[in-house]
Amino acid sequence: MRDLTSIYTERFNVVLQRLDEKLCEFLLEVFESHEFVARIFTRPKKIASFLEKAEQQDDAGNAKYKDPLTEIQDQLGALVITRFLSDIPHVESLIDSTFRRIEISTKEPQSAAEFGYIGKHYVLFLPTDITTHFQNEDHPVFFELQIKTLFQYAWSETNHKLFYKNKSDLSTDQKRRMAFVAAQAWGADVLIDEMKIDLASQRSD
Amino acid sequence: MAITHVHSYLVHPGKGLDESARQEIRGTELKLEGKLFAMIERIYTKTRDDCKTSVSFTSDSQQNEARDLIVNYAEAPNANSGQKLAKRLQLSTDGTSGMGLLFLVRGEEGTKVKTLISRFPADVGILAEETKGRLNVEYLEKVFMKNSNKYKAACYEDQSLKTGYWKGLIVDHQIQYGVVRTVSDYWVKDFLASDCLTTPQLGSTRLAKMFDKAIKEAPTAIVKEQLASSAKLIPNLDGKKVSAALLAKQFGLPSLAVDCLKSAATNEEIYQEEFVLHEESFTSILSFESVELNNGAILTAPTGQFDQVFKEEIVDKNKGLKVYRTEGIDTDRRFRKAKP
Repeated sequence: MRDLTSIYTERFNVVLQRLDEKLCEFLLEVFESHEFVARIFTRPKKIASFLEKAEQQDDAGNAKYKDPLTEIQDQLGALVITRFLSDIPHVESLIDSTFRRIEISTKEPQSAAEFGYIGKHYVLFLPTDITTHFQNEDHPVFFELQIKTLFQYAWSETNHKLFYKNKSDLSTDQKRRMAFVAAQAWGADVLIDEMKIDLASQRSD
Repeated sequence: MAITHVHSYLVHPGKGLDESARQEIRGTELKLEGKLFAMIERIYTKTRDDCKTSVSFTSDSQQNEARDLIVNYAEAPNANSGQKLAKRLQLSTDGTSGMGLLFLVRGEEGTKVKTLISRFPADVGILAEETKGRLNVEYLEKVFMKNSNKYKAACYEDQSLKTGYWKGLIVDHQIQYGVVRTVSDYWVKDFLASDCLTTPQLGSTRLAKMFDKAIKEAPTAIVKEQLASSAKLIPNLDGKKVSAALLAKQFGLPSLAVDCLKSAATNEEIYQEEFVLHEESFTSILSFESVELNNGAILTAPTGQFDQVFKEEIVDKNKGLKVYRTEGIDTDRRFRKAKP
């Protein structure tokens, strides 16, 4: 019986990379005529990253995923980046009309006094326009899509690189600095959006 | 043998009725032998041929009640888990749909578990029996026919019941007879708590691009005209379940036009896939109709208005010679890099 590493490696090499290309093409076509999208990224989940996630345990110390190949739903991921906070509802509307979903969630700090990761996450069905090219192949049914502003993206990328795996090792001061950077990103988003609205109002006057 | 369990329930309509007014649901487990089982087995085996519409359970939090009941049955197929599905069907069915015979068929296909849910509507029939030189003719109530245009089925097949069974295939004979009808809401939306996998906007945009491509690549003016005439009628089907295949049948497109449409589709699956038409998405792609003449003239008008804007007069039918007349005030004149 083949092990998970070899099965996922084959899936990654044979299917996921091609699926990723198709997904990227598809998303670019969906959003191409809409100026509220700054960038679109897609990625197949790297083999090491998948295996690490597959080995995760729950609070009781049991394997979190009994069947990682079907339970891990972000083997394909997409990120839609907007310039302004006020562009996010437009992206949401386009996603609602284009894809069917099984999950939608807003990730944000639990308390209003905290600053941290913010983003909108979806678990969406891969549309038939894509899966039709993989009819007899073993491929995931879903992909994960996130929406972020440029500032949210900048914060989350740097935060992930520096702190994600070392959260428990951070000093109080370091955690405070991390929160400060998140607050700066949040503030930049809010002010930039307010300026956008003000300037638009001035121009129309 | 793939089938492991078959349960059947007689389900009377119960939507909108108090519990006391609803008829009791009686069910039975079928033996995996005999003529009835053989018929069920044929239906089970042919689901891929019958079930053409992809549907997905609706959810915002990876939770769906209908899916839970179907997964429960697939995990532990018994009278109790089957009864719960039958009850859900009763609560989704009103008097219009009438009584139905529900079959739940569970099977194993390699590492996958397959569950077929099929509903035969009640009808009346006549039983004719020959005995010792005599003919007995009898009126039968509660006859259940698969060929009825009210037959419905849904099929789910997956390796994992925990994370799979989110999408399935359905058959709805009410749209199988070459006539485009409104999707049977009670079966898909109420009972299965689902929707067509392809959204109205996505399907309609894709359909418009398919027609656009087919018209551009059609080999003759006549075929272009046939496809264009059909495309102009499609917006009238807003809210109805359509597919390129259904529309080709609905509009009686000749075989050459059908071939052009099929070529414009990515493949057979896309050509056959059903979704609910969204008029705005369709017309946003095919916004303008253009006719190009052999003298270089290109006549363009908003789709649906071309025949009002340009009056066509046939001068020589054999040569295909026409005169187009129009009247209006100049509002714009421009140069373009390429043909519109």
